[in-house]
Amino acid sequence: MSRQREGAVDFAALQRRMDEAELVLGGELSAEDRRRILGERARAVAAVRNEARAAGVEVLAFRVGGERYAVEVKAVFVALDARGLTPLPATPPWVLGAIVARTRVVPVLDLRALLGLEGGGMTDLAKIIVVEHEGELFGLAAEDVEGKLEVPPEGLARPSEGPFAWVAPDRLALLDLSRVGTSAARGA
Amino acid sequence: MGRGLLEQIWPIFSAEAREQLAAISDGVMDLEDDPRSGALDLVRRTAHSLKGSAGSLGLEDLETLAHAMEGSLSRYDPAEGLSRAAVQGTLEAVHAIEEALARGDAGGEARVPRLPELLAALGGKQPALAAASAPAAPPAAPSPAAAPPPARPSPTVALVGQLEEACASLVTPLEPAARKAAADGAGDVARRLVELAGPEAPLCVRIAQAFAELGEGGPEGARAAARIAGDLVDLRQALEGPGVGADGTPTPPDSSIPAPAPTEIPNPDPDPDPATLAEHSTETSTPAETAAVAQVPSEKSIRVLASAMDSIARQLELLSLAESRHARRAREVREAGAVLRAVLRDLERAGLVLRLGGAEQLGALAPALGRLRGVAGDLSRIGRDGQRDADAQRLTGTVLREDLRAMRMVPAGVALEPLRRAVRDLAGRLGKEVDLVLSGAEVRLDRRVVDELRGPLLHLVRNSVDHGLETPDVRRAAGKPPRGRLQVRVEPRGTRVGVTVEDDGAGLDIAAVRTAAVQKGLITAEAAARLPDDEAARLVFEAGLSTASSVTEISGRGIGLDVVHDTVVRLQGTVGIAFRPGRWTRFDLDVPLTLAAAASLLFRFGREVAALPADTVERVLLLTDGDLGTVAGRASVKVGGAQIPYAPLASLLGSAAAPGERSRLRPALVVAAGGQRVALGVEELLGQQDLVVNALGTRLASVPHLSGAAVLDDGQVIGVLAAPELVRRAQPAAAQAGAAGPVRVIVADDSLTTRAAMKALLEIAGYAVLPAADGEEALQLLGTPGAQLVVSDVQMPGLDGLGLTRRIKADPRLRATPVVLVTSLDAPEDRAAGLEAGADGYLVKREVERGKLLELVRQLLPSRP
Repeated sequence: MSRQREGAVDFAALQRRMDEAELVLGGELSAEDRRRILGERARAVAAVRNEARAAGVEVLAFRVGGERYAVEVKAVFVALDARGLTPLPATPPWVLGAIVARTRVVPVLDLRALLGLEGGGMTDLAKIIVVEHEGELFGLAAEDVEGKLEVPPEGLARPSEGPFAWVAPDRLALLDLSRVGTSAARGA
Repeated sequence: MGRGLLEQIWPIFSAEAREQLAAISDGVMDLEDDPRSGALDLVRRTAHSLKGSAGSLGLEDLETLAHAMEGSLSRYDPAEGLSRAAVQGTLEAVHAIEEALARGDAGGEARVPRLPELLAALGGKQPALAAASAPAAPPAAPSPAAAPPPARPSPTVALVGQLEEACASLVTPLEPAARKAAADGAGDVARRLVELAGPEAPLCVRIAQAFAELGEGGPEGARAAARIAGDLVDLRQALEGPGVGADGTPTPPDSSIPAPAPTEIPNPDPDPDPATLAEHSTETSTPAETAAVAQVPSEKSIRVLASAMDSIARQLELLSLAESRHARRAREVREAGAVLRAVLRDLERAGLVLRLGGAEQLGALAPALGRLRGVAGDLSRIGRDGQRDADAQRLTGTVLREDLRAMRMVPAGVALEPLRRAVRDLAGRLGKEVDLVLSGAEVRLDRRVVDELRGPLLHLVRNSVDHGLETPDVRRAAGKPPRGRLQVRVEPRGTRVGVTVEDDGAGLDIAAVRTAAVQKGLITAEAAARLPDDEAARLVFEAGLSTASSVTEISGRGIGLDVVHDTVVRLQGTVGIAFRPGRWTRFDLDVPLTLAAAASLLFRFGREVAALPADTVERVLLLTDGDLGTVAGRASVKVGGAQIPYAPLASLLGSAAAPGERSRLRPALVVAAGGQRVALGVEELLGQQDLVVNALGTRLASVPHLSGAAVLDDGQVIGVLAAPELVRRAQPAAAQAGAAGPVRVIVADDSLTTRAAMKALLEIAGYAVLPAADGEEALQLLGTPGAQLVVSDVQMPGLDGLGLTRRIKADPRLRATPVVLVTSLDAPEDRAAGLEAGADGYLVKREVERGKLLELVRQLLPSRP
């Protein structure tokens, strides 16, 4: 149907003819039905998207001892290079030393020793994440800092052991700072 | 009150409220003890003031509760004294308010649950706050000081309200014409207020001017708007008292007059004539002022946030780093000047030689050299001046640090007062009667020392009430007065401070302490029996020791006497215990007055560097081999006529020994703490610096030999050791916890027969044997309960002997443990492999039978007493 010949196009008629043609070609649903169903589905999906998404938790993720861990962003004081880390004399294996972070002197702990992970020594550790808990600062040594992540609250499991608040489906574990490095947690 | 404004003011209010609550609870307890005490006025005024500030922030619950406290106190009759119920009611109200403050501090709402019950306990009614139409009279009070004047009249308040509305509307976007009109109107209102407001007139004039500026618009107008908002709040408070919020919420009936100045009594004048009121306002101080004045009028002081002081301290440390750098630069400049002069001399000499050799065209050289000489002189001068500046700067820095140190000093009372409530609560709960005597509250200590002492003092005091002091019946039966006496004394001792906690209770049950220690495996029964009483008493400071048959709930944080000990040691202090059975127990803490920068000695020991505060090092010795002797099998050195124990610091701390030959002359630091001394061998002294020791937090509380860490003047971090712990470890009686008892040897072998045979062999020789089936198990046993030596087969499944040896030698904590490999492999390569892995001994199984194992073991183990 040529526009030039007939002026305004009758789209409704066009549509009907296409529908009929489709039916003939072998759909079980008329195109109209199909459009209706697709439209309903589209609305349903849109509705899901429009749901207020429950806020996720903002964490700083890092890698140490071959595993991925995280701490809440609001507990992070600063993350810095491990270059300034100085060992302290005769400390247990879970204390790597101390470092100056923003003019404060903070102890740095080795998560690998505290969690029984592989590895030791300072060669792999590139970064120190200094956290604050109950007014005290201390640092956690990491091989690599991934960065800030927002973890959705669905699917978080509470692990039975270890100083973790939760473990996400992708095995990222959030540290419960009140149990990291404390004498109770170390079984001392 | 707007959320933002409340958040800003909250920390100040919270801090002040806590002080007020402390004053109220102390005062009330004073009144209970001594009904005639003058504390009543102060307590009532404080409650009134708290009510006012709470009201001004719109914190209704707190205001109501404070009001009820005030009311209950105003019904007080000195003849009758304060009933226990009234005291209890007040203390509970104080506690509830503290909890509400804590909620507010955490960002939540400062509401008080169970408000009606608390109010009922105080005998107060909930005043009709919401719609106050007529000023209601307060509960009848016997003393005139309590009768507040009626509410201020509405005209001025209404005008202020109009101004506030105008201000609110003017901060919204308006057409210039509309803005000018509104501002002019507000200005008129303000000017009318000038006449009515009496002493607040200047404030109103300023407000009128500000409105005029607002009317003009522009940046000036914006600034004026900000000023107006603040001024209006002040104005309303000044005219009305602290009971009304800036958004015009109605006045509570009787909270209109501020807490009066100590000597004045406001006139109860029902006449709402503005003129008379203007008179009144000149007599009493404005609420804003009274609220800001410290509770103790005798000392002029200001409140400072502790974090601000910490920040100043850190900046001072950075300043001192800069000072040192400055001094170094100045020195370098001077040296450059000297070098330049030497070069000049060479040049001049060369020029002379050339001239003698006939060169004539040296004309330009002489003036150039002359100029260079000038430059050299300048350099030297600049260097000298620079050094003088650096010295002056260092002096200023020292004065600054001294000032800061003084600022950080707080009276010990800060840590002592909270003890009253704790003793009262606990004694009440346990049915004991206790007189708490506090002395030395005025002694000033570094705030950080006081902060660290709070926990230990609280625990010691609770310990005394719980375990030391007996119930009245038991005491009477023992011929003691029924009321127990608990004394906490703070006394200055030169640059240190002594804190004593003494009770006249039952003393220590020393037999129970010995038994508990043996049960815990800290010490063998024989050793326990051999210990004299005063040393056995010190066992209470070991972790995990409890002689109480039932564990009483002392504190949520699980602080024990061991943590008290560790905390004090971390402060470079000591704690001692003395007792008389059935009569008294005394804990004696000795701590430094201040934690500020102290001269410290830096040294190298083993492969590490560390520092010790100079005032813990009595002297430095240079020892040759001949100076070392032995006393009772232990190394010692003669110092000033007395033999004191000697130990290389590296081995004392279990860290790696220094590589290479030891030189003939070895430095040793004579360190003293708690009346005992030890000579610690180090490799080299590195110098002296003023260091500020930073505590490393509770997680490192279990590393007692570390007092903290400090930053050197070149920016490097260094560990600071705790002298008391070093001295303790070196003492002969420090065949103590952990090292006491028979020597533990781990025997690792996958063959049951071999294990049993070696176990029997070693046990006959007097060693305690821990068997392990493979390397992993051996490692686990090394962790807990630990051992002094490892005998291991080489061929084992999983982790074999070589792997085990390597792991042990790689771990700084276990490195010092000797490892003996016992194997059937005899080839020299196997032996070499074993020694390469780090084994301290390598035996073939045949040799074991010939007694070689025992010989080797005895050789490898450090000498035991």
